[in-house]
Amino acid sequence: MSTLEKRKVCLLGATGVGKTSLVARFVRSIFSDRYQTTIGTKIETKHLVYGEHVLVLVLWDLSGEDEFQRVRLSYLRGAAGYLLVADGTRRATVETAMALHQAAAEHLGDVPRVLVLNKADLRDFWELDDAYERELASRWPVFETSAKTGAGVEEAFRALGNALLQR
Amino acid sequence: MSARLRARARRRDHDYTLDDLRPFLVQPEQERLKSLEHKLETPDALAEAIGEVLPRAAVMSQKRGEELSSAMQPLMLSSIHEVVRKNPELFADAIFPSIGPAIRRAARAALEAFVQRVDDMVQRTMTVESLRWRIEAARTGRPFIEVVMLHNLAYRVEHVFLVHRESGLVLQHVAAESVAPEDPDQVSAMLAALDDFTRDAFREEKEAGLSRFCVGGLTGVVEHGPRAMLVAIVRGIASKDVEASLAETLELIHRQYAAPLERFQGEVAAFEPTRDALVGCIREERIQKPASRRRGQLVLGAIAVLVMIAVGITWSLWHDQHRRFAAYVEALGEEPGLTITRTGHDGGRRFVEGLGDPLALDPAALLAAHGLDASDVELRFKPVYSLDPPITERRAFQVLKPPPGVSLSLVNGTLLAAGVAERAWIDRARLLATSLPGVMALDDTRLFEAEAITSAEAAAAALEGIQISFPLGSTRPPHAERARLDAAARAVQEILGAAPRGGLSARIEIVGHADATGTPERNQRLSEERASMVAAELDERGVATSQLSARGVGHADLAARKVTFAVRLSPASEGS
Repeated sequence: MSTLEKRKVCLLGATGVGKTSLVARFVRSIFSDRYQTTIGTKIETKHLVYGEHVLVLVLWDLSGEDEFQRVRLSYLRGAAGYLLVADGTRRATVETAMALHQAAAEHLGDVPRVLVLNKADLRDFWELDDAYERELASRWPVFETSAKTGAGVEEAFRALGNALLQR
Repeated sequence: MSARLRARARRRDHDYTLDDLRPFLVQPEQERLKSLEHKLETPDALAEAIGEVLPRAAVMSQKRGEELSSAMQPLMLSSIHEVVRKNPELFADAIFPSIGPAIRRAARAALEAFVQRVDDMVQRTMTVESLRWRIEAARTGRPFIEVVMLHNLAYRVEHVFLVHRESGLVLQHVAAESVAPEDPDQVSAMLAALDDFTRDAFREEKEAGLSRFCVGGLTGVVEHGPRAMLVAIVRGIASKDVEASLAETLELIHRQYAAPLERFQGEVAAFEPTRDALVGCIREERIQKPASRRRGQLVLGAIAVLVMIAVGITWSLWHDQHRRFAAYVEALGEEPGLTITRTGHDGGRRFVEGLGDPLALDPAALLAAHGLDASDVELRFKPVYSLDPPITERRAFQVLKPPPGVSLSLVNGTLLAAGVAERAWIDRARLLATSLPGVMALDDTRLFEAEAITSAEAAAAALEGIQISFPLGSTRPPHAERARLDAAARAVQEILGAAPRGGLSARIEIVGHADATGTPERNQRLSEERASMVAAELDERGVATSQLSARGVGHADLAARKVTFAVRLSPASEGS
């Protein structure tokens, strides 16, 4: 018999790392992108099937963190996990992701999360050295993705979904 | 003896142990305890005790709220279910007195709803108002049905969401009929986000929340509970009933699902049974229209009249077609060579069964004359030889193929053939005619040979070209004329032989002449004698002279010593 479960998941990251582009082709949304700039989030859903289990991820795609705007952390309330997105070609965005992780952990405690390093199609221009990447990988499930080709995105969602179902 | 032992001995003399005193000290309490113990440990006694207070407890619990009734509900439902399953007759007997009125009420309600729907339909399609609404729909770009609803409904609850307060996840969602479903998870999460946003943006207290929002003709009514909220999306102006039903339902859900709500991590299956409660919140209120029922009845009446007219027209068409079909069948029956064995309906189509000679008229050819179409009637005819005289006659024509000038007709089984034909055709007709079905005999007495006419005419021409010469004053033809006499005899025989076969009668005259010498009287006598002499010569040559006539004309005609021949051939009937 199939089961249906739902989880609230937040997408967090600095402005311009490609959060919205990253998920645009993998999720469905009935709302326009305008909401992100008006109320600071946009809602999407992602259905994952694990054998007879169906997991619905309700994604809160929070607007990016930068010097002009802060992520509205009240939106984290009730999230079962989160997905941090950074841009491999800008090291500073990884640091922003780490800071957002700290803030999220304070609100949510130790919940499943994954780190996504986007723009894998521009690997030659990455600002991350191997040692740093190894260090990240030792602390996080890290996925290299490309919003342009779609590579790695599904895997990142599935890994997060799997961790959510294990809890 | 030690001091201790002594003391003990003393106490025995003057004092009692506690056990000795207990019966005196706590006797009444012990009895009460025993009684209570008996009541608690003996099922019958316990039941009696609870029975005494149960009604009062129920009344008091009812006063405090609906907790008891909520708790009892599943138990009662399963009991009723069990009773119905085990003894349906008992249940049927119990509800029998109320089922009749209930059915009548339901039927009345259904009829009223039907009248209302007819009325709506009329309003939507036939009234000036509906035209106005269509224009409004076209102008505003809204679907027509939405415009109708706006004008007809005070309000309608279109969606109800049960939302987990903390995560914004949808626990259950129901929508009204014919409302297009959106992704409830996204809508609910966005509502939660808006709730958070408004609270954050305007720094409202944590406990408060978004309770009502309006967009165009839609209103969102939000009822907050400690762990979940109910959101109703209402088209039109929601009455207080909506809020009341939401509050009541949310309280019920919090009571019945306290544990699943508290430990909710995303397993929505636990909330599937809340669907019924949410469906109870889907409601609508119509704008009252006092005259509508009467109008609905009028429309029903009009529909009934239209139906009767339609039935009348259909019956008339059917009857007319039936009449035409009967006339067609009668006409077929009168047609030679066709025999009708059965008529009727088969699968909604009329049919005619029978036997038909291939030479008879094609039954389909008569359809158009009776206003029928080939698709109206199925014709099932088997081929036979018919002995109907007209068909026999047609068959004689088909088989014998008479040449022009020959007529065929059948009278009492005898085929009458009349006219002139070649000998070969006549021989063939004599051979074949009586072998045709329906032909008993051939009457060919008026059938003549073309070749006989030709040869009679040729012989007549030859005879008229022959002149027998005589010496001066003589009535005997000279020897030299014998060959001509022979030829004349053959010609006469040929004419007399062929003429009857050609349907002709022949008049042959032997005409005697004299020259101008002598008196007219002598010449007359001489010419007559010469003609008689030739007749005698022909008689000698075997010619039946009874059919010949001889006369003399003196010298008036040729003024020569000769005998000539005149032949007149005429149709036998004319000559006889």
